[in-house]
Amino acid sequence: MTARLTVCLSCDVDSMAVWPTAFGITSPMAMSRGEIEGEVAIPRVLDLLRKHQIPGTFFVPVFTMMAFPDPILRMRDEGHEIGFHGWMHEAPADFDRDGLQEVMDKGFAGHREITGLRPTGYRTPGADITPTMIDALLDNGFLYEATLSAGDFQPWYIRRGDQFVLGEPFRFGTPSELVAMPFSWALNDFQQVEFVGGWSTTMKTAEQLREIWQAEFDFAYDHAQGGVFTICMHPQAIGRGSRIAMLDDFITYMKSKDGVVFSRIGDYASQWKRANPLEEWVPQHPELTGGWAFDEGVVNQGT
Amino acid sequence: MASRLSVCLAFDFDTMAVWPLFGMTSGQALSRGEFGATVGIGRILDLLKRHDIKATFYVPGFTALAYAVAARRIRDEGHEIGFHGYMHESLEGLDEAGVRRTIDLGLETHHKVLGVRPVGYRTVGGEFGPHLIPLLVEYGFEYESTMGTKDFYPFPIRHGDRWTPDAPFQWGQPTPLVGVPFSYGLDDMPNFEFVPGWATNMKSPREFGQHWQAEFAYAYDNCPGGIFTTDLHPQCIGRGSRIQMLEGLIESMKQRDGVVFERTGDYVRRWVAEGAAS
Repeated sequence: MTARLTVCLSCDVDSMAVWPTAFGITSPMAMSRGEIEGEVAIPRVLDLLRKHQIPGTFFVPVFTMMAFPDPILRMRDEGHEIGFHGWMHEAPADFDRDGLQEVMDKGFAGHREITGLRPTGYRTPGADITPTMIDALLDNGFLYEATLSAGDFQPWYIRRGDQFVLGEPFRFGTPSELVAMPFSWALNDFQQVEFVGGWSTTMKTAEQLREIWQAEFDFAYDHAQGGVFTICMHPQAIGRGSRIAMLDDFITYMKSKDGVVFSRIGDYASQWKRANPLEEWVPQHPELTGGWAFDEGVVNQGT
Repeated sequence: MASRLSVCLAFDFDTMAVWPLFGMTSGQALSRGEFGATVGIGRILDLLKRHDIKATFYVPGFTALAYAVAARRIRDEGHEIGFHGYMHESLEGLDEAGVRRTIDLGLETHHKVLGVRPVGYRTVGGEFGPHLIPLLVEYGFEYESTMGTKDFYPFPIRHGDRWTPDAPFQWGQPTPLVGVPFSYGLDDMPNFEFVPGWATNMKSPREFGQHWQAEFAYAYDNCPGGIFTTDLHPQCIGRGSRIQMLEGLIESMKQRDGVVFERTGDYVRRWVAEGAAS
């Protein structure tokens, strides 16, 4: 990696689909908050990226593509990555392995029909990852998943088969070929600026959100050599006037730093994977692969 | 007390084990806990070493087993290891035998993995139940740190308080167990983390630091010989911008005359000894 810090701006283009699936809200009022993406919010985000000549990554449910094909085709034509985000933003926990496969098959078909592309990146709708879903991602040849938080500015390989049972020691699974691209709630726009009764109520100003993002960016720039700084946004949240203006300023700030490169998540993930083959990476990362766990066979080193 | 104010930085090294308490067990939630071990704890220990500060870490048995190497580093760098449940379990609904069992298993795990016997206890989620306090006395714990009875001085913990909605509060009897102050204002999780239905504030590091500075300034000016303590979590304070804020706070607190940084257990023992002498 030659860049000092790679910035990956990403958006989950959920449109109306997030309201019934994540929040159980189906009123026209809620749906209209998602609808703003089609004519207003996605174009604003795309215009901003074009102005700065930088690529982004968009995780788009097929539902959104079918409702708003034009801005999605523009997204593709302007060189942005389009990742998988369910057919209609389905939460993986609601499906068994066969059910997940049906959603994926239907989703891949939708991507093929509308964009002609097969996505290699996945962000979990609603964020709740399950072990079954990790199996499904591997079986379907995904390169990366972008919802986990075990690291902040460096990718890692996702374990398959972790076992977390209440009252029992944690059992670490086996590292797989699936790359984890870091996600954090601090670098997610939605719950910091949108009001969802009972779920998110903080409603920060654009400036407050920027303060949090910039503090993380500054740390990453100073301390995470060769790392990746990923922001997760939603056009219906970040696309509002004051927020898109803030993002414009924030991009300008990040661009002003030497050695900052903007990249699509998939490009960074594949470079990282080439530079860090699994078999070389595992012995260097005991903290992420169960290598720090207590071993009954080792003599007590107590004082 | 020779010092004017003791700063006892305290951390709960919960890793994944905190999330079931919030009803969250998805891979996403667990990975947030994992961050405390994979990234957060290293940043904290490096920071404490840079400033030559000894602190207190409440380590659930769960974490000691999953991340023994990190737990031993805490011990080897001279920090105090406190008790924080065996599997970070809530005591709610447990009978006396059940509570006893979690203490036994937890102590056994600390002995097995770390070779230490903790004297400090921090409850999980502030849940005591009716059996815990006499058991902590019986097991020889010296202090407990989840109560907000005072802010900058220790206090004796009572057993046997009784209250009903329609009668005056009935005071229990003081026990030898020392209460070490706790407050949510100096707890990083509800200030920073997004936990739907529990905490959604998501303050910036500057905002959290502002509250910390203000509390510290009051304690420094008004509470001679007092204790200023925190409840931080490696998975939360370990994020880059927050660690930088913590370093800034440490630097500014160090500049004040008479401020010492020490382990909670050391402060408590001195407080008890001086109280007994007076």
